[in-house]
Amino acid sequence: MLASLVMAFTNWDLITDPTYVGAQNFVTMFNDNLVWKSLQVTTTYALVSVPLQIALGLGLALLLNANIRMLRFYRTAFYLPSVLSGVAVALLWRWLFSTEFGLFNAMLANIGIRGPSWLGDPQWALPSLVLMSLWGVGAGTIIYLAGLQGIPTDLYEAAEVDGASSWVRFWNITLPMMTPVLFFTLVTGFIAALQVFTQAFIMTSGGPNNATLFYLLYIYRNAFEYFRMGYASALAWVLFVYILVLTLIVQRSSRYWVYYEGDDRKG
Amino acid sequence: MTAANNTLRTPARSEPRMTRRQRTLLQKTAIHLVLLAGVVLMFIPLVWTISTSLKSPGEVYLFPPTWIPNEIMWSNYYRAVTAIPFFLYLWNTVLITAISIVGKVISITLVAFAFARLRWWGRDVMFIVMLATMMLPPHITLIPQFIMFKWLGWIDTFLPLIVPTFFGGPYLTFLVRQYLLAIPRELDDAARIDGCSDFGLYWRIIMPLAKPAILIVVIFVFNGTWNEFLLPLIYLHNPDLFTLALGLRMFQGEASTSWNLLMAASLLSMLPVIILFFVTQRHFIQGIVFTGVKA
Amino acid sequence: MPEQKLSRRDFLRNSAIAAFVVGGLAACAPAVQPAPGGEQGAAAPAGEAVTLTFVCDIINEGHVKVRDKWAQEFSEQNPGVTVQHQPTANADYNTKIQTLFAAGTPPDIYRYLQEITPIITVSQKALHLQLDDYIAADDYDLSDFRPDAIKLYQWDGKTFALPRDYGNQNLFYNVDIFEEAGVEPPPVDWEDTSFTFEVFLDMLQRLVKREGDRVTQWGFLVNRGQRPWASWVYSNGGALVHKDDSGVATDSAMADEATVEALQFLQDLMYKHEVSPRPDLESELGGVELFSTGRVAVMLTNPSAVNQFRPIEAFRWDVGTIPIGKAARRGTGGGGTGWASGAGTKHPQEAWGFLKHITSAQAELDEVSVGATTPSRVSVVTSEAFLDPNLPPKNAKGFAQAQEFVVRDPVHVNWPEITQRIYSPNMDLLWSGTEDAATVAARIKQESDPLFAQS
Repeated sequence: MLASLVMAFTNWDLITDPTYVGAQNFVTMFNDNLVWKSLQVTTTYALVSVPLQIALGLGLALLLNANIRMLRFYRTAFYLPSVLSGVAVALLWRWLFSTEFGLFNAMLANIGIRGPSWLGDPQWALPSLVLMSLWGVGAGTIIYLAGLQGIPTDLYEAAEVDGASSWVRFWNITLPMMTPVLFFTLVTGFIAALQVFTQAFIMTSGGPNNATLFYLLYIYRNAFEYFRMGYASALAWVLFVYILVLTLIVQRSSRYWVYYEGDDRKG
Repeated sequence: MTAANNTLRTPARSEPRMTRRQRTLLQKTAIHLVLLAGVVLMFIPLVWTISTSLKSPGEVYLFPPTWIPNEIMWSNYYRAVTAIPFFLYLWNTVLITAISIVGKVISITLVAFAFARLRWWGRDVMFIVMLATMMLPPHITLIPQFIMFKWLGWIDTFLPLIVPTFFGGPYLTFLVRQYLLAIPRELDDAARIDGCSDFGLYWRIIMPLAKPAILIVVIFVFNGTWNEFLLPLIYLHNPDLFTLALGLRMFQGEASTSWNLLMAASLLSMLPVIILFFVTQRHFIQGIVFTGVKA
Repeated sequence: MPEQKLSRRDFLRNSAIAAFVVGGLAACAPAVQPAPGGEQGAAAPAGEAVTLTFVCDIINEGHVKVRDKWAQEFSEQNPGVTVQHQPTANADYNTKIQTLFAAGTPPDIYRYLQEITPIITVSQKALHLQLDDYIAADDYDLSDFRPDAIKLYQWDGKTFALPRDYGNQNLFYNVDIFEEAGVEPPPVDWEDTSFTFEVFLDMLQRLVKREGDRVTQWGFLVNRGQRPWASWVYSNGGALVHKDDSGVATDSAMADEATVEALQFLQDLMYKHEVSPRPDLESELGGVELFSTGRVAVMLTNPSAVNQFRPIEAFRWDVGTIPIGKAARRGTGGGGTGWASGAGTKHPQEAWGFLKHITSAQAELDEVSVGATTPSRVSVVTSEAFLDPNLPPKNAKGFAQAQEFVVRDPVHVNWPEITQRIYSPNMDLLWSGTEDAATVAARIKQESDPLFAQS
């Protein structure tokens, strides 16, 4: 870690000796439009995909919690895709998104829509990756389901006696009781989203027109393609600070919306 | 009543003649329909992959696409495992994954044990330091680590991938510590009266009781290591050392990709994870619930 | 350079003196480079096992087999020497090469791509074994190679690699589709001036098949690789960069009228005339599958595709010249690739021996036998084996003729960065139909000129 901090102040291509350049890397970064672009891409992805995953995951969990049959089947079915990840999954989705031969556009063509060039169009590439991230929604669902099952039923019974509508019950009981779990998935979801690499590397190589240039991909390129080790270290440190600040903001805001029941649920 | 019913508007007001039982039945049917549609959506990508993996090259590019191939090419699977040295890569992946699991289990349980069951000077400070490193993206140390391994001459060996696993990982250590805290203290005292050393306590008393937590660690590490791409990409260059994740890239040539073979190989590479999932499903789910709710 | 002024005879007459002189020149060359001389492989001390790493990307299966064969041959001919062939996924190749250099373990022999590491950088950072002394010492005859191909790997009068192939871009077309549509196929002769951009467009419009508003058979696949699209620019009289007298790029030529016009032509094929599929991963990867499954009638690619097209049984195919626009003479992006040895190799003598082995006429014929390349040796490119009329394509002589029309990639230290950070991301906007050619080209020029100005 310390080595990384020291390196952030050097110019080093690994072939010739490192030279100390002071804050030069940070100045360069400030003027590097790809740094800003990659921060924007990464942040947009996090801000869109994480809330979507949470909403969808919670929705599914609510349905599963309806005391229905075949619960185990559903739980397994929704959870399985989220277990799969990595190169194989990225390649699979790349094929699904193919413009002329992919499944999605074939299905759209059935209903008379000419599908977009998912990964080839700068406007669609990032939304495509968000869509893909929803495949892993099952992991959240399992967590929420456990959370829901932990909510004492007497709370609902009392509310029913008071004649509260189902919406009021959801809003005033379910949601507040779920906030610690939601908070946890929000934080871990953000941290994961800010470190996306494989999808961008395999599916789009950061393109088209840098529309999927995730921050970690840009660090990787600087380190292992351009061999600017010092600059890449500086970039990594900025990511660290960025994650720290974001987490602190969510942490601070949690006071206003995370409900802690008694003492036994310290997030 | 459960929370889920609340999300669906009860049709009671619009159709007052329905009995409560009918209403519940209708609701349940609706829920099943929505869930089944969801399941279909979730499985379409996998089914499509299986379908592609069994097609002839010509049929891969057919429009409209076919779900069931006109001619089922089981030979694609044979070609997929012979076009690249699949089993060599499988072996490499298994080896790295197995050693990583051993390394992580040993290091994580030892550290968690020290944090949860022993008293030592600076323990709480160290614990906070460890919590802080959880926030640190693992990739921040990627570059200095690469340089360190380069100095050690470990590039193009498995060492950069497996040695760090013996230094644990903060996230799972935290989880296991939480689990160990729940084991009654009286056990420790009893063991010590019987003359158990610290290590004896760890090995003979705590470890057997911590089996569920260890299983969770095994599952997480297996899944993470099996799918890891960035680290092998950086450290492994000799094709004899490749993992499956790197090997899959070999299906993409300069000017062509054999999608049917690639999908066959991808499915094969995912198979161990899928099998592990079904075998240890209960623990898998317990694990993720544990991380999400109890943490 | 002093090395080159040393006469060959000196080396041969008295290798001890030669060794001394060259040793004294070590400052000009990587420190570990020992004195050249001696027969191929003879320098390996008895009993000491030597392993050479031979790193290549996987272009297709044919290449891998040929390279395995070379490794085996050389190991057999030189007891004690083992050549370890390491085929690498094409997509990861550049990263791998750069990582190996950065890790201080450069490959003993590898396929050198000047578009990834410019020859100027190779020279400045002394990345490769400098070959001139070895060439001189062994009197290695380079006269059979195309002179332009040799020049690609020289800088400041020093030689840092030897040519593997000397490639170019050609139209590959599906003969059956042309016959079925009753359309005259593209000509073979690169001097033919009647085959213009307009004739080409008309041809494509007659080849396209539609079902409703959906195209079921495309006319032409726009290959988005730089050398392919640059070929259209060159053939319209445009260029990627302007050059100074030494051939080094001075500024971007993207905003030139002829360049913009050619780029707009390509975009129109996709969006205005709809005779070409929109950008997709297939076309990004060269679209070989689209062609070989008969989904597209014509594509532009380099001769290494021959290897993949030969197994096609469903239809006949052949090659022809690229259409000509406003240029006086056609141009094709190309130049092929080279074989080089990483500086600091522990076994330079053996590495040089292997370099000679894989640049021999026989080695080029090996590649020809699997349809893998356009040879850089004149004797091979004009050989019966290469022009064999019994093996498709019938018009293989077009590949040989096209070598006269090759325009080399821009030469500039910053070129890899310029192309990766500015040229290709902006070109994505052209391919996706987001912006027209003039807008894209103007931005490329504006963003890249400051980087061209550095040197």
